[in-house]
Amino acid sequence: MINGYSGQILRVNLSTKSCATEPIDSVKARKFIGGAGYGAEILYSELKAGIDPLGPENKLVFATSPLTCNVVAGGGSITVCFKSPLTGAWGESRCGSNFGPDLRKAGFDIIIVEGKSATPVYLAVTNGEARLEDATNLVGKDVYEKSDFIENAETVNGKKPTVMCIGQAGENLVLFASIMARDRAAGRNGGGAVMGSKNILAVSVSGTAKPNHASAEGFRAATKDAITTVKNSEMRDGFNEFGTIGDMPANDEDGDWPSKNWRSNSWGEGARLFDEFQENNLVKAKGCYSGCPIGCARVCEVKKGKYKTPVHEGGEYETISVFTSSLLNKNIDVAVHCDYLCNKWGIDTISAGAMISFAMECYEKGIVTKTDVDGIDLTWGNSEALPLMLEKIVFRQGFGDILADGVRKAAEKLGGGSEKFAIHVKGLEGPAHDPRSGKLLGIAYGTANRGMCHIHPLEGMAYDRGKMDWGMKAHGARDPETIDRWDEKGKGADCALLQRGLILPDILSTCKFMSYAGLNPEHWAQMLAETTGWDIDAKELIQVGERVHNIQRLFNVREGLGRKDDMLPKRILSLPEFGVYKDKKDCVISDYDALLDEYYEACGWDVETGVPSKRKLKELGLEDYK
Amino acid sequence: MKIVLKINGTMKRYFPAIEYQLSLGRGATLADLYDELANVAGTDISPAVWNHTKNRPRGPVIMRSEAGVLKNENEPLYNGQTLEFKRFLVGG
Repeated sequence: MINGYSGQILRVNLSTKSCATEPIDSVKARKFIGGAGYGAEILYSELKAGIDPLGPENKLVFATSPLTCNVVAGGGSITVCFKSPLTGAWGESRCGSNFGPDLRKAGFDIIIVEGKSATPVYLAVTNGEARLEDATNLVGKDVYEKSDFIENAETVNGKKPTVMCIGQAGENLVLFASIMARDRAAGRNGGGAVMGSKNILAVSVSGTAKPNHASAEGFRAATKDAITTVKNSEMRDGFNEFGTIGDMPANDEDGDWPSKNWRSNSWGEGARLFDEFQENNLVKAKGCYSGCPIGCARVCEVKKGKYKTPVHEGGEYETISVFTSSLLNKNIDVAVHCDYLCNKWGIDTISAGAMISFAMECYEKGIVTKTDVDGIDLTWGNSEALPLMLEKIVFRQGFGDILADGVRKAAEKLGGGSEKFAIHVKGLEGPAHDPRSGKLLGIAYGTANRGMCHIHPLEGMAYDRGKMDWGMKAHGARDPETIDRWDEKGKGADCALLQRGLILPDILSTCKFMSYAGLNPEHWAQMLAETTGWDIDAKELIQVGERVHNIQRLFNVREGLGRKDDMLPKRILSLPEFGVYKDKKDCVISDYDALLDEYYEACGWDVETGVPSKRKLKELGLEDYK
Repeated sequence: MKIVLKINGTMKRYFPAIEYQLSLGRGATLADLYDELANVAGTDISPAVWNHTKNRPRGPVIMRSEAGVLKNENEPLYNGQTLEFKRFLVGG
């Protein structure tokens, strides 16, 4: 067994109802490590191009790494990989919770779920053993109900397991359904729909196993050093006290707050809404897993009124933004309520808000009428419409059935020019950061392998506007303090370099926010070296990052994606229609093609097609992946 | 007492000036400094970082002296002290 790893992969075939174990491959482990790295290798090797993401041929990979454990800063994470039903391309989603660490305690680094069950089941994994249980009684139940039931059913010696499950959205194959660990979500790319298509409603994990460390003392010292770094970070205090929503006022000011379906990058309501949330909705700060040194999660509620909402974990920046600014909704209680409904029904908050925003614009432009949308008044800012539309989407009722397939397919169905304001990259709806606040975010959005997501392009936004170098200056990145956020030249190359370093938390199945709080590639490499015994350093780790970015790219190329799929929607390459930036020409990317050329060159990819060159693949040891 | 307040990093984007010389009474605290800053800089401070109703910082901002981060509004200040006002982008 390799030090640091639990050493086993659990392979669950739902068609044959069989569970088998196989060892972690030591060569692949060194090359791809874990999380979205080892997961990408499995999916590239085992899936055929062109398969139906909702068919039995697709696979779900729940992947950890040797750093997925409660004592590692950010180690309370799980990465779920699959072919996305929303994009038809590489799909992955990270969830912060105890699920990842508990999967390792259950004796496994990775679970591969394949095939399709004839009847609803859940998977229970305890101390190295796995079984499928009938879940017929859980059909139609929400995330909390399913979690409660399985936690009780699988309690061993008074210890409850950690459960990830789908809600009704996953069962109804909503293409942006999430996989939930109670209020925490593997939200993006539609993993919940893949689970639903396979008739597996939940996975529970528990156990007491501990991996061997090559140097227990060295690992303890390295993890302690990392925790100390995070706890001493000024950034950590900001995250803990204000959460991700703390950025809402400044993002509004800086033109980083998409408004009215991206017709502007500012709205002017950010500060007021933030204050209201702090005063009326916030209950307390919390970590999303046991041992988190930051605790950026918010516990929130709506105390009274029409939208009275139970105490739950929510109030994330992205969620509140898409349910306010994107829709011109000024009622924070409704945003918090929708947040809760998304958790309960198991649906990605970002895509859900984006779909309602798209629907409101269709309504404004007369592409759909009130009759078409089931009698709901979809006028901008009509907060009453939001929970109603959410329910329609989750249960695929009426107009909601069209929206449940995501913005790209919805625009294809509705026509009428709606594709012009269907804001997505590769089919994934845009989140709540706007590249008209800094050019690096634009190229990061375009080239992120899973589409227009809120996690991978973070480095672009924080580098350009927040002047954070993420510890990558030591590895060749320019000093962000010397770069103007409106500059374009050089940003393609900056993006290529930053992506290699900032993909590491996904490969290590840890939390990217630890990198905000001071953890750099050297910290990750040190912890990994101490637990595995490998002589790995930050330089090698960053090359692993590049390798994984490339194999995910190869996955997409094999599915027919290329340069055309790295383009940005025209609307976000245009001046805002209103707000403080409406006359600021500097904020708009003037030559996106040139940025893309520069990016491809820096990646060692063909500039015409965006395909990794043979030379680059050989350099990365990927020559056998064709 | 005289206090020098330096506006650093990305916080400069939200302030009309990058340094303030503030005059405060004897025994002044951090709360007094905030009140005086509101008098001096007034509504020119962006609401992105300043609550104009309460005359207090808004969101993830940090007031730091050579001794560390100042959080408690009752924290006493001293003559000749230099303070640094910063803001962090927290992402999400």
